[in-house]
Amino acid sequence: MKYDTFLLKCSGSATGYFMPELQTGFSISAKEGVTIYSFLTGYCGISDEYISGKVKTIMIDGGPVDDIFNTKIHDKGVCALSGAMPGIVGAMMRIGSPYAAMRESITVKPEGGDESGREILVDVKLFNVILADKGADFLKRGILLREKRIFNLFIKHGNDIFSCCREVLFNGKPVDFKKQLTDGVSMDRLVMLKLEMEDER
Amino acid sequence: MDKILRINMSAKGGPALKEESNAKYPGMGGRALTTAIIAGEVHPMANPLGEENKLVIAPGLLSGSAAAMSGRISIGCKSPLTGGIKEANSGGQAAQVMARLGYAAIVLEGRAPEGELYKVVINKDGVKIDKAPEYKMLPNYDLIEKVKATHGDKVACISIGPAGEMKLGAASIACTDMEFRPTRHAGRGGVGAVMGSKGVKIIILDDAGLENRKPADPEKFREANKVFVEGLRTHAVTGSALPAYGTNVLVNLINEAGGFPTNNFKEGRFAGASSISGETIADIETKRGANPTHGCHRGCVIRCSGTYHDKNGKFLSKQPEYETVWAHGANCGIDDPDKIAMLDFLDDNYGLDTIDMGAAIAVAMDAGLAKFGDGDAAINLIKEVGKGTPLGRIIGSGAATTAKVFGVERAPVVKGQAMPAYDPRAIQGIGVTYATSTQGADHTAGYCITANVLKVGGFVDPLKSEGQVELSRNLQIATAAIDSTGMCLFIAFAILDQPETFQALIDMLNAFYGLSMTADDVAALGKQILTMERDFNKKAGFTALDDRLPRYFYTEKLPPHNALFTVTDEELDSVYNW
Repeated sequence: MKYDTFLLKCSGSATGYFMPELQTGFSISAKEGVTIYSFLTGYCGISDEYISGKVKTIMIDGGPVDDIFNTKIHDKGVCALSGAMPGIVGAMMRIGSPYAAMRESITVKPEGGDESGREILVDVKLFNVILADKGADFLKRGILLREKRIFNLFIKHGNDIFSCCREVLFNGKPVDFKKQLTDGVSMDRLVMLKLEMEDER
Repeated sequence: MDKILRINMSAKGGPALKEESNAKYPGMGGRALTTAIIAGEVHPMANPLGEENKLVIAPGLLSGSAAAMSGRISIGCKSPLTGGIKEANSGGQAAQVMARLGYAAIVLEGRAPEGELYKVVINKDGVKIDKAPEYKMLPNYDLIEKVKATHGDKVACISIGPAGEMKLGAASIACTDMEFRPTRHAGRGGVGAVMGSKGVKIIILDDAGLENRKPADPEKFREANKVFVEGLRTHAVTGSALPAYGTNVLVNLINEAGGFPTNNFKEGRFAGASSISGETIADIETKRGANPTHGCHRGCVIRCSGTYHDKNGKFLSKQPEYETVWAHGANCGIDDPDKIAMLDFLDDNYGLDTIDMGAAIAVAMDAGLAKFGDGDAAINLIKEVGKGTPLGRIIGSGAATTAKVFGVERAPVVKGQAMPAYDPRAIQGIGVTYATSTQGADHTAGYCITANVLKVGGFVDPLKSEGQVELSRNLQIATAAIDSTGMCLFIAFAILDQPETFQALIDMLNAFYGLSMTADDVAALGKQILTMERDFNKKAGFTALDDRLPRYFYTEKLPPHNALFTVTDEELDSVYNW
């Protein structure tokens, strides 16, 4: 599916304003039936090396996962990614934790699912070191957000964000987001948000 | 560090000092020593605020040495909050300085005459104790400013605020940090009230002219310390996550797991979590010129503490810890980091446990005294405590008392002590520890080393659901042992994953004392400590019925997982079977 796209041509410093959105969650489009591992490598652009080295906790719908190679994502599911966390509870939540028994009741286990291959949407949340390491990469690749969240962000931090931007385009054309807001856009629809970091060229 | 200093506050003619050898307590420091003295010398039925109770302050076995991370100090007594034995510990500078002064423990005994307040000054020339009426009801920050004027800022202080002087159940004991601020606290169990009951406002420790304690085998010690530090620096938690974000990095993860107690344990997720997460607060700190990466004592290589500035760039408080951000944030429905930091400052200033205060305010909100989410109302409630109003004294006595006074059923306490920041319905294993810990609901009681490294109680199969009882048992044993070393509990993350780092810790102890301990000996020490604590509590009147969570955790489902606590009474009763 094609989504209308906001493209911000900006400096890398603009990414900081989007970090809370990346913690709260954004959507990524994928095919139904893929495993968590395939989703992360194939649809999120995260390398196998990074997953095994740094992604220490993965949750699906709030439940920690131990088997990312056989557990599947599903439509409207929420996939949260975290680095290694402190505390006994942080240790419990890790993939394959020796303390897994202590959170047994919320652990997500592999089970069969629909493998139709249809397009689905998965909400992704990035926490701590994963947010720091991969947040900008997701923004460059593009994330799906409800349009009202983007406008709310622009209303809250617009001056700061636009001061870091040379150009803001909507479907390739310059846009006045304030005018678009008053024009009554469909605020519930999903749109693509992409950042093109000009200082990284 | 071979002396015990006893100060009898009841002696005729004023406080009497006595020094003795610690030979009676071989190989004991920190929690092992506080527990051994309390269990051996305090009548289990003693009134916690009475003459018979004692307050024991003990640095760890490696405190005052060049060992990294060895800055924890244990404070033990019979708790006025739980009615059982208590060990609360703190970071800051006090452990290192006290150990260099040669004291394995300071024991406050008896009780000063009502209304009298003392300061104790200890330096290389000896101990001096004087009346200090000028310190009466001073909050901790003001107190430390006065001390700075007379003793400079190179000393370390152990003090109480007004809450301790009022002998409130949630009163803490403050220890100064590297910047000579009273930001590190032995928070739990009302230890500050016991210090207040002794009539001691502050202990000023001055190690000027003294050097680090020397190991028996300097070469082996240096090598083990090097391996230990390397293990901490290369581990993902101690080398990366904690320095970058502090302990508050846990907010997003626990919230996502549905185990982040919200609005007095009614829900497991807080809508405002991303506003108060470690990631967000570290970003605020950086933008305001504060420091998100900072050690709480010299020799810390993890540096998980930090400073928090207000909107004008002025110091407001230390970086609030995860438990504080939860207790005053989600648990009270507050998503404003500035309000949470102010509550943290007020807790430190008045000398209060942030966990029990957050829980008490949430209970008060349930009682209709304020609305969930109203940060200003929460600040005013803490200020009531500082003023010593009747309402403030109720809140300052903790969540259990507040719930009783206002008739609130939902009091998230075990043995009278408020639960920390993990809902035991979503994370059942932590509930086993909350229920059965000798300390009351306590997350640090089971915080430590994998059973399969220590090999206590046999290998635990992580895939067996019933493993959580065995894990909780083994974690409690291991934590009790680590609490005796004076090591920061956060070393546990590296130890947990890296057996060579754990071995380096044992090697350091052996090199320092000329011993040949093994992991089995460490486990035996942990069991010995827990057995002493458990026996004390039994004699104080505790039964198996005290090892339970409040009933509503078994009957009220917690969204989003709609989970109940399902561990059986039989399983809970088996935790101490070894």
